Amino acid sequence: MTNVEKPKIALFLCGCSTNISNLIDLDAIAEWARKREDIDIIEVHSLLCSPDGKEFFKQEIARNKPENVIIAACSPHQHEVTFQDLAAEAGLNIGHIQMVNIREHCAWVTPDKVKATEKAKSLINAAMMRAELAEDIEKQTMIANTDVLIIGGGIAGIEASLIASKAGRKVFIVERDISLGGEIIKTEEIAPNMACAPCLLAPRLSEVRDDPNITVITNAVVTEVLGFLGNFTVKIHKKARYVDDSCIGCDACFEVCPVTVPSEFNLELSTRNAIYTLFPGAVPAMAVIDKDICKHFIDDSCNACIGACPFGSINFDEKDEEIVAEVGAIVIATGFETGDPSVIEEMGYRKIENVYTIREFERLTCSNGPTGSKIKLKNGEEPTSIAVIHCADSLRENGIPYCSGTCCIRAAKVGELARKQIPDVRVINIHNDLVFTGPAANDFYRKQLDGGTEFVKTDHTSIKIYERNDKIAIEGAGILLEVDMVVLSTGVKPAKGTEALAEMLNIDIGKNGFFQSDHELLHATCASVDCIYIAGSAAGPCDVAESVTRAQATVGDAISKLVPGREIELEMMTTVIDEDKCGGCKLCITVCPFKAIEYDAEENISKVIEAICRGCGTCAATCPSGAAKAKYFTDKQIFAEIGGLLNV
Amino acid sequence: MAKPKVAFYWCASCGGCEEAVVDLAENILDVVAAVDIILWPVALDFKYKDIKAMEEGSIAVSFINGAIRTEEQKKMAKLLRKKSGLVVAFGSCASLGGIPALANLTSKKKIFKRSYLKSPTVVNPDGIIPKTKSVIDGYELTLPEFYKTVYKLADVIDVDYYLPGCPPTPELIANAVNAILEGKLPPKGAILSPDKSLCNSCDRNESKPEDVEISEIKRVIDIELDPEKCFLAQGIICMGPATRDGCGASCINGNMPCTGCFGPTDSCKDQGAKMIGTLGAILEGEEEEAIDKVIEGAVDPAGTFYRYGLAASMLGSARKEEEDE
Repeated sequence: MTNVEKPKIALFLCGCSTNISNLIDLDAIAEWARKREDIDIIEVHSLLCSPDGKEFFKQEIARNKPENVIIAACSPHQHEVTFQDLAAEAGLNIGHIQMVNIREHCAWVTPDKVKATEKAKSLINAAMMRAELAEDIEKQTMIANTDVLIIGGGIAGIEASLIASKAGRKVFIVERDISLGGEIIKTEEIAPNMACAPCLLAPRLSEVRDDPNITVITNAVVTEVLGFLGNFTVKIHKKARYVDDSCIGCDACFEVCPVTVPSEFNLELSTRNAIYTLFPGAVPAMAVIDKDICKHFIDDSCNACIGACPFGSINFDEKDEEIVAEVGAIVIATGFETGDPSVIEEMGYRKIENVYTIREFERLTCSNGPTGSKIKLKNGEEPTSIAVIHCADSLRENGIPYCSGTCCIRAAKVGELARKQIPDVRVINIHNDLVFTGPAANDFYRKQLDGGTEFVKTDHTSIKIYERNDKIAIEGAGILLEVDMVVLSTGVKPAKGTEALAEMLNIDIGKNGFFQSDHELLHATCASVDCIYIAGSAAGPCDVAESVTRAQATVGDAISKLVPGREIELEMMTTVIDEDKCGGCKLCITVCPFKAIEYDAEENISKVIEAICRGCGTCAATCPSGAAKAKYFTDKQIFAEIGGLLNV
Repeated sequence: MAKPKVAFYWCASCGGCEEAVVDLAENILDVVAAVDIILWPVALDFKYKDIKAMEEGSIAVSFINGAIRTEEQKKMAKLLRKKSGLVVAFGSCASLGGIPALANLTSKKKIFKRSYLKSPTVVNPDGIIPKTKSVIDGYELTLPEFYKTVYKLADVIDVDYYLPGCPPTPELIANAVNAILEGKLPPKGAILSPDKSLCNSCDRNESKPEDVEISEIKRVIDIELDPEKCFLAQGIICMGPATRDGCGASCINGNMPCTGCFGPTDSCKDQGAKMIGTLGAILEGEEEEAIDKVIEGAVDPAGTFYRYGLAASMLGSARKEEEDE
């Protein structure tokens, strides 16, 4: 650099009413700046972000056309964008704006005015050095994609999809299971109102099925997510069903299928065939062939379903499919997993007959369940007594450490359901803490007490369950009783695959393993990345009402942020990799948290995909040959800034 | 027309750079035919007074290898600078300080104590330590001053070009000599080797995954080295990503990781710091304890990351200002 005239620099000093001017000697700084040869314009203003101040700032820039502007004021978090926009309106590229934080970093950290003033000078000097190396930054925008991806087809996912569709958005629901419905479809009555779950769900399922805006992708998982708000590219792996969409789920093929295995839908309390649906009336209606057990796929020894099918729907040649969806927002509605009480040895689960989990008990009471809604013991008889163990796996070091807050009411439902069928049945709920929050839940508890359910308190960790005299004995601190049937009330755990999904989406997981909210009070349904949302119990245990409310909240936020036709600003301060300098060592790809860099094997270099880059600068810091450059934060600028700090 | 005059000189170096010149093999005859070598202490007998007597700028080019450790080396470097049109810092030591600059991690006092008093092979009952002036039987004997700090050549004289490497390859030397003879020179200050990292020409780069996470740092003595696979992918620290290309990947071809002798690329200020920063980003481990455990595997950080570049590093420069002159 020889004989290049130094850029013209304008320095604006803001008093922030008295926030800065009382604590820093701005006149002294102005005087110091005037003595320097490298600052051409020095302006002190009492409040630069006021309407007057903004107008003054803009006019000064338009009039003097400085090459670089330094604003010594508040934190860039507060007003960097304000001044960038004003400068841009006045014709200055925003790459030439430097904010110096003399409020939070100087005025507010010491009562010593002299020291605060000296520090402000150092910071201004650092910005001066940096400004000399300032480069233009191009502002880039794109039209936001307003479509929505919903991961998980339970009650929350269904609700979210319907609302988004009503707002005119295209929706993709990706469900891991073979049809929609999630956990709620496995139950029939929901406490405290004993609302009928299938009646709630069925019309919604039909609505989803018939909605042209909604694409239902079942038997599928999301495998990759790239991009950011208004601009996500999602890869979905859809497994082959081997049954095409002419199938109406009529079950003609089920009878001829020679293979049976325990039914996952009925929690292994009944069986299903190799070709099956979860339940009649599922969405989508079509059956699926379980390739791992189907005799056609194992040894080509059976084609019975082909002959039985009245619609010619069987297609053994169907292949897995890779689907790419472009969306603007993602709603995670992956639900939860019920705790497994077999981890608590003393509960006798899976060892003692007639010890069920609450989920299994509820399947027994469902009309599409394994016993056609009859509560029966394994020997076919009706139980005369049922014990319900609260916190069977919860509030324990070796189980679920927390209170899920939703299981007590479900456990209290056992008495209600049992007495409908067996009026004389004795139901004893054995609990330590009892959680019935809100008036409705509390009324439900009173109703059960009145109805005859006994509530017995003991230390839940003292309970041992064993077989005695053809009955099941329950022994705990201060209690010993014998019953015919035991129902274990289990807690709520994060859904399987939560961690992997969080990693794929680059979002945080909270202490208890559920997806972490961006803010527990203000953005409870927003994940830590903008336009990725958490609905239902993916955000933590909740009841149906809250699950649905959360779903509505997610879509509400998404459709207010992503408006058709509205442009979104792309990250301006992205990283660029200099092709002439990149050696193709790929280490930037290893560290990029957004998968925004790809390796070009032909040219042996790594390239930044600008539309995905968020400008975090990790690659620029990692690049061992200095080929990656973070715009607005180049190594040279940072070194100059440090130099400026050290040499005033 | 008289042949251009060329000088070769060595400072604090091992002699490997001289070997590299000899390694030009029959090509050296072309060089000898094209130029007039007026100084080459390792091979030919010339006197310093003859150089002193030459006119300023009369030597076309001086190739100076080795770091600056003593007063005599600095004087000779200054003398050659005065008499030469061009000065080329030849090899890692002249360019970056090289292995001799690792001595900047200790002190002159400790070096003398070790070398002249404590070393098990030294017999020195009177505890004599070399001095710049000693009088024996009325005669004054002198030795050059041993500096407190090792310098790279550019710290003591203006350098026109750099030939990196420990030692520079015959190809690079031949290219440099030809460029000088033909007058096809790059801008002053250029390093006469490609400005990309070694990975660019490394055959093993293809075997490097796009997700190179290191869960355990290993040394070459710890494992049986895969002769095909990227060293970093094997957990071995290879300086290749932070090192300038141009060596022909000779260490890699010998199934040893790059140790960084070509120094950093133009865009990088401090090769060692850069590689430490890079490794920091690709080491596995979330908790501090787990990370510490991985880092423990890097048993000799100075020798690994700054084997050649300490005098040219930001660390090296801090020390220099405190001492010597």
